[in-house]
Amino acid sequence: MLKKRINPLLAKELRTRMRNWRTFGMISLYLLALGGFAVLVFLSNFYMFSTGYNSMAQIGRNLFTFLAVAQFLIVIYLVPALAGNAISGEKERQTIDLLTCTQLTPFQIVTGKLTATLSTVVLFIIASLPLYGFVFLLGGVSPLEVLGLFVLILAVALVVGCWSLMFSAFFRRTVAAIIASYALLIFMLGGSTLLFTLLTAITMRTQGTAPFFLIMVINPLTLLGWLFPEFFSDIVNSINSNWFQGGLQIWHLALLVQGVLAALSLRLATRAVNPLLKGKRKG
Amino acid sequence: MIKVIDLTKYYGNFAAVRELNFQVERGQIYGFVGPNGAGKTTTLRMLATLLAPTAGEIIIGGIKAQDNPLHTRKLIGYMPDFFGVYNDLKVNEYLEFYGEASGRMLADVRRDIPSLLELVGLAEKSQDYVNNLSRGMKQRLCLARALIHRPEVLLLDEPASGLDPRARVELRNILKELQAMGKTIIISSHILAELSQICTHVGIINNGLLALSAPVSEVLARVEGDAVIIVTVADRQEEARLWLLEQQGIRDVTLANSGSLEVVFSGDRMAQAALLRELATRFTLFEFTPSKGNLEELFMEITEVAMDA
Repeated sequence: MLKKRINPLLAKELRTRMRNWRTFGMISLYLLALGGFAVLVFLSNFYMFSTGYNSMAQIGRNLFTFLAVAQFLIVIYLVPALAGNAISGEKERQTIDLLTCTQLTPFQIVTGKLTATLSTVVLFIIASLPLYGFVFLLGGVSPLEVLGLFVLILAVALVVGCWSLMFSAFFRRTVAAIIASYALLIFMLGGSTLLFTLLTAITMRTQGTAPFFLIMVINPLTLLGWLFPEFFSDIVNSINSNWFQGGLQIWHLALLVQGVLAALSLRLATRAVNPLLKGKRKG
Repeated sequence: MIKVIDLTKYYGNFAAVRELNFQVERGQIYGFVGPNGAGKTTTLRMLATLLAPTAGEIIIGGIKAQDNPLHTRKLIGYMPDFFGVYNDLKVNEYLEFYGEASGRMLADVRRDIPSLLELVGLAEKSQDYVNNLSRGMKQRLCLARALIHRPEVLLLDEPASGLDPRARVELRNILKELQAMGKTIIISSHILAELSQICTHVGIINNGLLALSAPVSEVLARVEGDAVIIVTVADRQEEARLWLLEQQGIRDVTLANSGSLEVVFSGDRMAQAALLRELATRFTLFEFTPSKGNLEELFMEITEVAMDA
């Protein structure tokens, strides 16, 4: 019988990551930040409840929205730190040649590293479950919405993880790979938003129909439009209502574009890891 | 087992390796010797399928390495000139990882680890973290890693560099055991004398060109043909010098300031033994030392000729 085996690189990565105090330190900080802010949001909402402006379900809904956006952003900013040293770390330890000398293909090496990064993200998600348990106590949110959020966080971690792995495969030094990953992330998140806002503001009077909002398809935050359509469709429709008809949403385009970018990054990372496709080496 | 045909590697306009041709049969230990930057590592990396040649062919176990790198990697165990270890793994975990990554089942790998650690002298260290091993131990662990998938061919890039004399002797003994197990070994070094003690064949490379490829016995015969012997007698040095000059195979004898005689002798080891016997019957002999530097001199001579060419 042919046994399906777990990628040995994934098993090794999980073992070493779990032995490292860094992972537990990051989870502790993450929970402290997320939990601390959740308490603040809850207290401010509870004050409104006590004065009769809010229902318990509305507090639950507000808390969920806050947790979703906060967790989304935290994970996005954590992934480059988790994946940025995946391949460059092997180069620094001088173990990359030994890895490529095994029966692992370059694709298996890259996907093993990516899966290890996503596994850590899953750990972060699981660690945050008690906070969502509290949201359920308040009501206003369905389990499916929470599940949807987790899928979305994993999807965006996959996209950012692919870019970070590509830089990690390109650069010899982890610091350079992480800086490049964060630079791209900041451009995708802040740069695209700034560009969209500026271009829209400049051309609104003269070219009211220009589809500058399409710049936002490279922004990972746009994917939140799946769970919170009101965030994005209102903006887009206020500019040009002809663009999104028949159920098409901007996050659909964002998912497609970012999926293609992720696949391309993975392909480039795989090529960079393959020693027989490389040019210059020391002799 | 290994056939290298017109192997060439260019980095831009720089030729790291030029038209290398040699062959290594099953069970042989082939010493690859050359000065730093001669092209040894480049050649070994091409053999290990870690670098694509610019031209030429590498055939390992009847298969063209460039066409089927994954299959070739099954046949070879590569040990680079650096450790490449994961410090946060235990010794047995490190070997389990590479065993599995090399396509073997974990249960099989676990069964082989004790004997492998015994072979490299790390049986007591299986539960230790790699980080806690000494340099020599890490070197031996790397050798165990290269052997974990039972390869037929071993490619060892300067495995003795940085090791103390005791660790070098231990490594030499391990390599002899591996040869007895039928492994084909290519080992690089920049010290010819070191390789001549364990290799069956030697290839001398310089500036990317193979200057010599021959059995070690042939190389040693060249050296023995022109040995320098240091002879120290208790007295009558001038008489000893004149007597030596009359003997067969003696090319030159000079009296050094220290009082010793430097004898340039062309003859094999048997002839050296006969000369020693005769000398001892006529003079009070304090010292009779065939110089070990001749292998290095031969190396210098060959590499200089190659450089001039």
